[in-house]
Amino acid sequence: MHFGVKEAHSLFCCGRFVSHNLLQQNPYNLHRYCVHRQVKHFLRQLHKESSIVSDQLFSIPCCSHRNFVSIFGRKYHSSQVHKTKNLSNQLLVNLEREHKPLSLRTSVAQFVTAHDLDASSKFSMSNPVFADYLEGLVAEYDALQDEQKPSSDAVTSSDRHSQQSVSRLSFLRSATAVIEKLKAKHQEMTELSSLLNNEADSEMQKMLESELVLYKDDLQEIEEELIDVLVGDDPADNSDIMLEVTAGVGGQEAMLFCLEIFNMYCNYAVRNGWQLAEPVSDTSSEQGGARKARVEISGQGVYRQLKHEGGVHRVQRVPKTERAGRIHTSTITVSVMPLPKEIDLDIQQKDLKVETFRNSGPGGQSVNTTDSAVRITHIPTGTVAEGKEERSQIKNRDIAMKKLKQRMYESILAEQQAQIRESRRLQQGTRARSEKIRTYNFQQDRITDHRTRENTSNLSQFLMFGGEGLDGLINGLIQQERYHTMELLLEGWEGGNA
Amino acid sequence: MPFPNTSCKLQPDIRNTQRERERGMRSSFKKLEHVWQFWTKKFQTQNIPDPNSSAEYIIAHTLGKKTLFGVRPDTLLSKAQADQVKALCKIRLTRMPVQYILGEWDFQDLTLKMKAPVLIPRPETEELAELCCHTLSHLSSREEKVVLEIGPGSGAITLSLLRRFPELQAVAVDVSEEACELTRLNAHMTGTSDRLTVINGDIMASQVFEHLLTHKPFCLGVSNPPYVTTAEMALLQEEITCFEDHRALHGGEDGLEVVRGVLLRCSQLLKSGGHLWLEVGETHPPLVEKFTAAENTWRGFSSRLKYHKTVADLYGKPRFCHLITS
Repeated sequence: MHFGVKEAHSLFCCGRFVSHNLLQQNPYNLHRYCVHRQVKHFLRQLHKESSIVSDQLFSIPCCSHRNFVSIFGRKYHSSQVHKTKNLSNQLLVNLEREHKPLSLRTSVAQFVTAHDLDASSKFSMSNPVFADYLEGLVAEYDALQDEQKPSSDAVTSSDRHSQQSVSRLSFLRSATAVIEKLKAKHQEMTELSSLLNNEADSEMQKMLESELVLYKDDLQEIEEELIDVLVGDDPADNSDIMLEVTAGVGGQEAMLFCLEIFNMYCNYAVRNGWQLAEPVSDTSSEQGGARKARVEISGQGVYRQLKHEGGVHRVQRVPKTERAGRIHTSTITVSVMPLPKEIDLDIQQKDLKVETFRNSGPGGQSVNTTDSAVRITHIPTGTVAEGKEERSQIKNRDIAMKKLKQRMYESILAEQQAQIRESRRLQQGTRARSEKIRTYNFQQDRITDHRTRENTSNLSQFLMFGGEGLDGLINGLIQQERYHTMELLLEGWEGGNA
Repeated sequence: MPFPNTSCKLQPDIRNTQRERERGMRSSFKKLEHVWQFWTKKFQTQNIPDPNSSAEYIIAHTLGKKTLFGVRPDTLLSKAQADQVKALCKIRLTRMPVQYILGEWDFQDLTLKMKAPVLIPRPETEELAELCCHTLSHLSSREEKVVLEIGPGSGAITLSLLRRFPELQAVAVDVSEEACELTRLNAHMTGTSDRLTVINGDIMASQVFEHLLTHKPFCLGVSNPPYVTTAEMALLQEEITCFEDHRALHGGEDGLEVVRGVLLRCSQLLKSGGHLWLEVGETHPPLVEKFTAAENTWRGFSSRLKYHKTVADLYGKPRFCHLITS
């Protein structure tokens, strides 16, 4: 079955982790991995259970079994994970019975364990702290709305404070809507389960059970939606970034791997349709590789996707330079820094003090002076600039003004760069082998992210352009960050209440 | 008044020049910084205003530069150059303005010839030209534009406008023959002489007025008329009183004698909706406003000019008057 743009798009709509051009460009075919009847059956089962997954899914070009798990797993992680879990458990049993390849079995097993409900179940109505937190939000919304009402009758005061409360109100409004929906669903479900407990008829019990499963799905979907609303977006998500890869411990081998990883990110960026600018790499080494390489990347959601890449990456392999065949461990450091936005200089005329050598006296025709130097001071920042290159005073003033603007621009830029340096320092750590975030093990053809404890394989493809392996890892990290932020919100609320 | 009394001050001190000669004998080359320091100190002891910049501009001029900005202080001056610096600095000791000594000065982007006794443009006048420029750029571009300047002196304002607006025509009237000549020379130097008519004469004289009528209508009038009062004239620097033309400085008892004439002529010559920009003394703008008020008539003229606004100069003093003809 031919896989076209239309299908890719429909898939894109139903699986938000699968980017459009990823599917368009991918030369691999899932078909290779779908030959197992079990897998096909598994997918068909999934398809039956969920109306969202369309027929086209069967022809998704996918390069590894690991990847289809990562795509489907992510998709179902949120809403139908328990269902998927049952199915895949069943699949696992089938696979084992038929002595299918171990790699497929392990990947499904991993999928089953990795997507345990533990992380998300914390943010459901059954958790009293979370329920309390939601109640608090609703109460705050009601209070704010009451407060807002009388002021809307009076003259609308547009001071900063009220603007802040307006944005808070709009946030609370969208949150409250979802909370109400969640509460209603939860109420219905508890009623249903109590009904189930009192029911004696087994036919009826079965019916109610299947009903209950549906309700659970809906509930989890709403819970996920609620987390999305509560966590919100990072304003820096779409800002341009500077990606820098530096060789760490490991000498020549680290430099070789540094360049490999740098090329991997560049290709990954191109594949995502991002723009690259000003790539710089220090390739002075004779045996190839780079001590340091950096590139500016811009595009939709660049920072969102790549911000978790910053840190120490570890590689374990037999280097090209090694003669005795020993495995070496080297590190490289990746830093991802959002670039400063266009600097907007706002210089008010009233903030300027213009000084010349004839400030006093009547001026005009009564004075003749050749001292045409002009000094301008920007009072709030204390920036001073002087113009004395020209004989014409007005030109000296223009020069001084230009210098002043440049100086202020430079100081703002320096400030921003200091912030960037700080974030780079934090990301790089001490470049020691132990602070790693990811390990590339060539002997086992395995890539491990130490933060999500996720594994992916197919290293050669991963290093070529990132591929779905990197997508999977990144999505895991984004998900983890979401839960983490939610936890922090909850902790903050608990702390504030205690 | 071909040349105001130059002899009013100071012959250079003879003993000092002898000492200089002795010092100069030691080596044929001198370091720029030493020459600069020497003359700065010399000017200081003789109470010459702007001692540092006077020496700077004279040295720079001898080196073929405008200022010493970016010139290394250890640059060596040849004997001939040091001699020229000395000769020029000696003239400066007579209190002659640096601009006349160099024979040129900068006005915005232009370098204009300066000749005594024609008034040296002040920094405020650069601002006046800037204001006129702003007004002209806001006029509709369709019609032919002619500017009238009363008292151009070295021609600074008119020439900077002609340089910026390639379609612009200008008429300049000055009572001083030297000023007219210098304006023509500077127009020639800046390549704008074909668009400029220079008229020598008093604007109040009837022939001049008739001549001007043939160039009517003007869309913009501009003038930096003499506005120093008789009382202030006594307090001026020697550079000004001894070297600059008093006709370009002295504006009568209240400093407004010529201003009134300019107002009358511009009221008659500017087309309807035309603009007039004036540079006046810091106390004058309210008085100018009073002249143009409807009930006031002066020598039988009721003004078409409406006072629009006062603009302050770089130093925050009310300096420029903007008037518009009804």
